[in-house]
Amino acid sequence: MKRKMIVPGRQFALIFLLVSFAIVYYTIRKAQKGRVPKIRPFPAIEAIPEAVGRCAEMGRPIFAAPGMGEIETAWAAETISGLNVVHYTARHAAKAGVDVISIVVRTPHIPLTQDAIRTAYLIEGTPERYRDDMVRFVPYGMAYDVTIMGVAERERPAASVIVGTYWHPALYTIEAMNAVGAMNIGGTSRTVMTPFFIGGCDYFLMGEEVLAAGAYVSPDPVPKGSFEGQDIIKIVAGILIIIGAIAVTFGSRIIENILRW
Amino acid sequence: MAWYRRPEIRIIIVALTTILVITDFFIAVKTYNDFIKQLLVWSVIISGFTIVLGAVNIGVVHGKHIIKKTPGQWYFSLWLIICVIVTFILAAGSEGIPAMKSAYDYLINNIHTPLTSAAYGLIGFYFASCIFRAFRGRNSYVAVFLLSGCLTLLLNAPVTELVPFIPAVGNWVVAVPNVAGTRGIVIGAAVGIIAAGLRNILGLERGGLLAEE
Repeated sequence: MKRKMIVPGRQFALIFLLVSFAIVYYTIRKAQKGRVPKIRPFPAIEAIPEAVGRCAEMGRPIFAAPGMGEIETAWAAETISGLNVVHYTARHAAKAGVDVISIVVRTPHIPLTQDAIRTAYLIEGTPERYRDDMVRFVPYGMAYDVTIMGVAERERPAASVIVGTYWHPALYTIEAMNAVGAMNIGGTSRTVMTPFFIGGCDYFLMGEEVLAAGAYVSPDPVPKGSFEGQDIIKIVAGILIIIGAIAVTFGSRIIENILRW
Repeated sequence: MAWYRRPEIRIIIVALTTILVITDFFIAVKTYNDFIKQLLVWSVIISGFTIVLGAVNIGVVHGKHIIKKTPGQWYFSLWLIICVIVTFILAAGSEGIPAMKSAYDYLINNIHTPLTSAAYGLIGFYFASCIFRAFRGRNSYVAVFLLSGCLTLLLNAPVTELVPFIPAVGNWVVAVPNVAGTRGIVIGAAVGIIAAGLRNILGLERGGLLAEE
């Protein structure tokens, strides 16, 4: 029997992936040529300049972190969004003369976050204010939990911006910042953590908004174009789901069989 | 610029490895699959070297505090550096020296584990504090969160035996809108990863930073 080169049951997935690549490539090229899609403003992102202004008035730093998800896993897209938000926050902080504190729990995030903050200070014309120790590495787990409480008590940031992938340590961050009277802006697409962000943050992003916010704050048209392509793919997936649900309701498994091809 | 520092080299390496790993999921050729498995093992080993970055960062950040004798901070930093060095020495020696192994085991079982449990114990209080703050009901999102949370809590309470509709409504909330919303977010995240993969392959994934340089 002739062996198939493509794994059985994944042929439709391969076609869907190639079509998705084509759609995203088309929308990226469209954005690069000047037709940049509009992303609606987010109250949480619009509040970042207000948060930085609060820090400047009170003479306290701002805490900004890109999340805890590994950049080499499924959390990559959200972590990149988080880095874009850190960069955006750092730009406002650099303009206002506010120091940024960032704590990362994954070692690959150290140079990425340092680059995001350093570039922000460079662009705003105050590279001398940047220090490498603005980004501090603390291993994930108990070390981060107690470190964030200590940083909040000792350095007393007036605001915190935590957008990205978060697990339970985000609760320590939110509560520690609330305890010192900081304004909290947060966001994660992890559904188990969303209730804590809603309850503890003054402004929050949830679900897809985290990914969209990263594209919204980026000056590069590529993320915005890419996000338009993602929306088209989601619409296609939604249509497949609806057709499949209707087909199964009437006893037909055609969509299921196509997906399993 | 030296040829090995050109950004095109980095883009080619990233694009090639991304394409190789993605196609491994779809291709059923044993030699190729074994090669990619080995490549992934290499990537895990290489990523282990990034721990050096973490150690250097800890040394730089806390070393500065110790040297400058930052008030209220320098003794914590000194203690941290001492703990890191002692733990590293014990961990490194625990493989070959029985005395160091028992010292390392003592450190983990009698110091690290109880401290970790104590730190995690705090989460209960923070949990309650966060939920209490949420009861202020600032906007419609919080109101929906409160309502669904109350229904889910009531599901597990003995009082639900007295009121028949509560388990039905609570179970429906958990099984239908909750699962639907979660699946929607999972699909969105998956599509985001597809787009990020393509940006990696094309060398366009720069986080908007280099675009301004």
